[in-house]
Amino acid sequence: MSSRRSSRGSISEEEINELISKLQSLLPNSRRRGSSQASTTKLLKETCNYIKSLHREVDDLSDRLSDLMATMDHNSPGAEIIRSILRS
Amino acid sequence: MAGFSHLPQQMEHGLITNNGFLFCHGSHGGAATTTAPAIPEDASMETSSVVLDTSPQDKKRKPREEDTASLNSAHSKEAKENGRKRGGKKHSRDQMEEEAPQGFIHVRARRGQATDSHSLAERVRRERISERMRMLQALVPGCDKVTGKALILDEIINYVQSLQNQVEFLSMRIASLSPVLYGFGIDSDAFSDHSQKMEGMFHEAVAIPASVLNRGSSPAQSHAIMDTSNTSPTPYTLQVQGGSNNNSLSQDNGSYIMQTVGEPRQELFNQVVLNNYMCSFQ
Amino acid sequence: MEKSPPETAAAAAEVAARFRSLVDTGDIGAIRQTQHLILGRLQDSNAVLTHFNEYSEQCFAEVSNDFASKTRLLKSMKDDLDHIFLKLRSMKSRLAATYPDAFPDGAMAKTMDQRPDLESPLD
Repeated sequence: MSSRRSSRGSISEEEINELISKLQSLLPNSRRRGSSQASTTKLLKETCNYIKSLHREVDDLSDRLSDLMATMDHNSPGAEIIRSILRS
Repeated sequence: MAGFSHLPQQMEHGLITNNGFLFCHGSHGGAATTTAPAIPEDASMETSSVVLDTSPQDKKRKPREEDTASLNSAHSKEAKENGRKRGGKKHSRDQMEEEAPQGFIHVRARRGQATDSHSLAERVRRERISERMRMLQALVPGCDKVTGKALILDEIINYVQSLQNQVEFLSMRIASLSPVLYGFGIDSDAFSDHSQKMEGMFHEAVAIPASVLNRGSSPAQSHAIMDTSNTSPTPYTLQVQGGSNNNSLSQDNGSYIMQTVGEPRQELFNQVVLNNYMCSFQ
Repeated sequence: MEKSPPETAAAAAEVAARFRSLVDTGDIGAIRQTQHLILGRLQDSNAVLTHFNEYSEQCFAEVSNDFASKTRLLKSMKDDLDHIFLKLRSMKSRLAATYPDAFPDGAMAKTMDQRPDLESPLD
């Protein structure tokens, strides 16, 4: 019981603040915000939005990359250049 | 218990930490020492001195405490433990509240302390934070089973970093493909951003000249650069003019890259080889 | 797949030749030689580490049984001692309850404790 309590108590306020500031540094435009302690709620909301935007960006880039891979099959000067290089 | 007399000192010290109070009983009251002759006297004195060193302030008060404890050892022990627990809880209350806000809100409300406006505002704030944490837990894979605010934040940080790395990797893949295929500059703004990320990271050896030439320039300029690169043996001098549109930081990077690309080519390719090896090990 | 026009093929071949002229064959040879050297060294290191891993595994297999049995023994000893001390405490409380005069208030502590008081200053 005491060991369980002490292990829980070892996670201190400083560690939480450190993690929050680290999370803040990952987000874009983080330097404009106020102190992390005052705006933890806003920070978590921003993190939620940022993760969603990253999801969208990853999906967009994946689609774009798939399109590019598909267009490589077509005949074009660039594809011809690559084929010439690979041929030699 | 044949090996009791041969107990190592570490074991005795461990017992002290677990039953320090008991040994104090024995040294002062004498009941334990008389009923347990197997414990060597000098060893008990040593252990008692250790206890003395660890808690010198309690020594003066110990006689009274021990007498009261000897009368009702079990009950007083329980009471003292409860008192110590309550004291410890008070000291670590802020930490506990940060970790488990829901449970502690109930506890505080039961005690009748959460009736003032400050506590109510604090409760609302914590409930909002918990709500946001639950939303984030739903977004981050592998985070549903995790309990504890610090662990959740750690998982979120790791996930955000992995997503950023994924975006960067995909951007580099697209940037390495699109300039050769599309004849330079379909989406110049996005491409300039991506190519800046590619600075210093030459993963595509064949694409090095094209990306360096095309960096930060508009489609018309890039076409002109491509035309001149067919005829002139040193196309890199045009890069300085093309890079004048960018900010000073990218200009500095551009000039540095030109320095590395132009002259020590073998060194550059050696770096590419080493980078590939390092990446394969990571 | 359709065949591209000859002009495009000729231009593409010219561009490819230019690209190829950017790389020196001697440099490529030197790179290949260095790569072989690096690969040889990495293979040697890998072999050494593999041997060390196997040796460590063997050593651990030898001592893990000893560790497990010793840990079990220590745990059982601790349980026994806890039980003994529990009985001692209950015996002491029963004695104090049955014979209250056996432990007068603070008298036993003064006679039994002959150690110097570290709190008080030296006279």
